[in-house]
Amino acid sequence: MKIRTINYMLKQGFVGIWRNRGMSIASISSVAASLAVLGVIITIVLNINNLSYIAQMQFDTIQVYLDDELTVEEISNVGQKMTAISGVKYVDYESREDALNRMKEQWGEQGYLLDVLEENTLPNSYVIHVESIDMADYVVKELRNIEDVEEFEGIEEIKYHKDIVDNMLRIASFVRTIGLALILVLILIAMFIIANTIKLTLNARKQEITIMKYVGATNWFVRWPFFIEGMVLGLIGSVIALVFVYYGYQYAFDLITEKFYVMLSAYVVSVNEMMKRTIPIFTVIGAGVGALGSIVSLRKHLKV
Amino acid sequence: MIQLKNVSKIYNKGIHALTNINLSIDKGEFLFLVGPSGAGKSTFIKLLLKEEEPTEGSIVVDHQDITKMSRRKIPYHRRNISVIFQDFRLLPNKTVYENIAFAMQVIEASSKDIRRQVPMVLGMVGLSDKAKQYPHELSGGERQRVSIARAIVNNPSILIADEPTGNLDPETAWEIMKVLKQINRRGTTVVMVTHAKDIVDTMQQRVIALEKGRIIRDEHRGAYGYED
Repeated sequence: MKIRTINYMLKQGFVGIWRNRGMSIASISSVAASLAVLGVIITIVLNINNLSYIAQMQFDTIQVYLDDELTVEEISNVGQKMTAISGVKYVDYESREDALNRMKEQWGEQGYLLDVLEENTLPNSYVIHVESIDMADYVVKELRNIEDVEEFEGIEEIKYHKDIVDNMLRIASFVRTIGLALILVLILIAMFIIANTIKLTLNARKQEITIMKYVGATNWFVRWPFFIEGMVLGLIGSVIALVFVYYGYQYAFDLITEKFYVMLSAYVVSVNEMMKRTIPIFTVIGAGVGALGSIVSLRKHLKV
Repeated sequence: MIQLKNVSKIYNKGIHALTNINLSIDKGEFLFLVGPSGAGKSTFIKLLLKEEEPTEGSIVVDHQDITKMSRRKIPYHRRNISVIFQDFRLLPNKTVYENIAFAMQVIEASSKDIRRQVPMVLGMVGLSDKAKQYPHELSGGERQRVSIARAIVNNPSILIADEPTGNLDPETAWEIMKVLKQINRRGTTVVMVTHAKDIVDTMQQRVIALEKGRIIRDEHRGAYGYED
């Protein structure tokens, strides 16, 4: 295709948008609104996924807190028993001193707060690393067996968080399903509005198209300006939605990290990461909805 | 140049628009197609332009059977066979020059060719001084000449004129005929559908008369043959 032809088509595309300003604005708004909703859904799903991922990373271990009364021998004994359970990758012993140090490290700047503790009340513990999080239930059952069957009294508490992770994943998948259905409807509406906008341009250019047809313009030559019009409408809509997502997310992100809990920022997907995900999705959907809207209109109203 | 063999066209509603048409038109001919309304003249033009497909038969234009032509090739076929109408079909928001240049732009002609061709055809139809005017500033005859200029600017080998003088007074009609004859002399085949008895009778060209979808007369140096 010649550059002059491309120029001509771009120009016709923009002329079409300008000629039906009202409908163009409606099209752009509907694309922008749909994508903004998609943005909110993506925000929620990404963050839940991220949280559950972090949770999984942290909770692929089972914490077994031990009774203070246990002797060194008993401790190593129960350690061996744990290692023997199938599904256990390895077992770490963490003394109460180790536990305090780790905590200080985790708290970082606020670690000095722990210095005021007069006595280390943290328990000694075993950290069981399971091969996969799915094995956690089984391992915990076996641990309870050691307690019940062998009447071993040394285990004070077993902590593991598979349920939390499961719940988070369930919420994420629920939001995703509902969100997708909602988005599908919104995008169909956007497409319909774009198709109607294109139809107006088609009507305005009817005479021109008839002449183009008679002098032998190719079908693509006739169609391209309408595609461009549709895609530009979609793309403008997606840019507006991206701006909304950027500032909206930035605002929410700042609110969470500043006003709430500092530590939480580590669990929230960063603004940059969010944009990296949404820009390609929005661009493709925006242009795609526009192109599809044009196709719908052209198929119905343009016989070339 | 143009051959129709056993061509029939039956529309969906069962209307027999054309029945068993056999016709051969040579290169460089000037031909009148006459007949009452509903005789099948419009269908004939639509078949040549491949706007409609014949129900039966074959149509060969420039050694190519257009009934077997793929849809993709239709635009290229239409660059070779152009058409003018009774109602001119000019774009009102474009100047005379732009209207003609538009026909070249949409087939992606180079600007160099456009700058060369447009003034040339404007000269041929005698409108060099009206290039910058808009269609509404022109008389009917001038508008038809612009539409002729647009039709020939891409050098088609066939020009179809669908009642080109239908909206014009007799004097202006003759101006248009002069232009068409001149184009014909350059080697372009001209097929003109008309109801203008005096023009047909005076021009002494081949006349094909259609009635109820059939050719009832095909005469060289013929006359209109109907009483108005």
